[in-house]
Amino acid sequence: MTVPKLTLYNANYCPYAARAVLALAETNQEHDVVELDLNVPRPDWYLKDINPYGQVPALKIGEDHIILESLIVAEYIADIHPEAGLLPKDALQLAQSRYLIHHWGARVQPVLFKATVTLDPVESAKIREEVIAELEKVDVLLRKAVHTSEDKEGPFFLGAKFTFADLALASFLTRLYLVGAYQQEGVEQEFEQSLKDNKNLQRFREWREAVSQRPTVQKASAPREIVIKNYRKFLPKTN
Amino acid sequence: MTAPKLVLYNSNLCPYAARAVLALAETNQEHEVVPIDLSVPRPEWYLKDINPYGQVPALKVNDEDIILESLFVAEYVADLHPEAGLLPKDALQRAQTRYLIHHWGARTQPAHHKATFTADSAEAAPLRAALITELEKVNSLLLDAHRVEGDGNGPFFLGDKFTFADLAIAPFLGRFFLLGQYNDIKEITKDEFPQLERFFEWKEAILGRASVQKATPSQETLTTNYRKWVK
Repeated sequence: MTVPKLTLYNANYCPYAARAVLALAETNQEHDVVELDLNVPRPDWYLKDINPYGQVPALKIGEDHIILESLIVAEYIADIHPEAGLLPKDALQLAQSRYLIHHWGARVQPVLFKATVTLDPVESAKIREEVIAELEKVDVLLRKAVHTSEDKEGPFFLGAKFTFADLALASFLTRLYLVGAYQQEGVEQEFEQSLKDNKNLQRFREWREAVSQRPTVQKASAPREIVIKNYRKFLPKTN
Repeated sequence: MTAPKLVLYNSNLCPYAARAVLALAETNQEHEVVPIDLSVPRPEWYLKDINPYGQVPALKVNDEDIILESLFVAEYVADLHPEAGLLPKDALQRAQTRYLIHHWGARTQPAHHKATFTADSAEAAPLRAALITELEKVNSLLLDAHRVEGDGNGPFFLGDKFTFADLAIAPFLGRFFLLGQYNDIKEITKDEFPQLERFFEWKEAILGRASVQKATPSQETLTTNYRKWVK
């Protein structure tokens, strides 16, 4: 199938845009990249011709069509490469994949964000406990994943194969260090230790490790210094 | 493939649950329904065994697995029945389908909600204008829909066929008339806004569909039940 020319509008530390980057990498899909700086106002041409909401990622297809929204962009790329097997064929597995992605965004990510930007040590410690509670729910969802007779056992959501749910959450799994980035020294290590010691997070740890170690994921992950520098703008303004 | 045993946890008044109802109707998929009364606290068993967040719809599959979130339930049902053709095969059409659904939920529906449930008519007037702007965007998205051979020139999002984007937004189109029920805001019509011609054509086609009519409570029931949202 002839695929028209694809252009990705990206920002290299945006975890949402990373979904598109990963999908393109996993499918070996040829494409151009236009890099945007999210620390300055979007240029007029971007708002006018690509995305009036100013966000990344956006995917231009040929000259005629633009796709917005990270999951929709990533799924489009997965759709045009069925041979990469990113989207499970089993209807229940696909539903579970979508739900895991939704759940992380709706439940886990907001608490992670709160934990990152809450600077009061007592407050932030409480919120880190909420993070652990949410990750324990993710662990349950991982354990509930259905497997078909074709799935080999393995650490990814559906087994040995890296699929869409892994892809969509990879860039968030690789930046859990943000929980300690603006806190007192030792908080990050303490948090990691509490994940290790937690019997209810064994499956989560296995999943997180496998996803984080995948070469495409490592390549798509911006260095921590850059992420930490760029997230500073989310901290509450102080005098 | 043996069709799985399905139990839908539903509320007739919930537009999100209606997506699941529509998918089951459009695919003729056999299923049981357990009604859930949203006007009282959820029973313990629902929170414990079905959905800890208490929401509908939920779909129980083969007495084992539960699917939550209206779009995932509806898509799962559509996936069981490729012959019903609810999900387009073309990747770009699929992307545009998902985007229209996302866009309606993120932009259009909130604008409609604000204009409808703001009691003070003076406050609501600019909200009506804001809603028009949002509907113009929907109109553009409808006009931009990618068509492939065989789609025809019909009124649905992708032409002759009623597909997933139409299904997912249908329950909200069925509640569109609420605008002006709780304040003096004038109804939005084709005559006053000819630039929304494609939107009205689309809306009318969807609301005229039998499965949608069956899944939509009467205007009287909706008007009574939504009054609690008025601010």
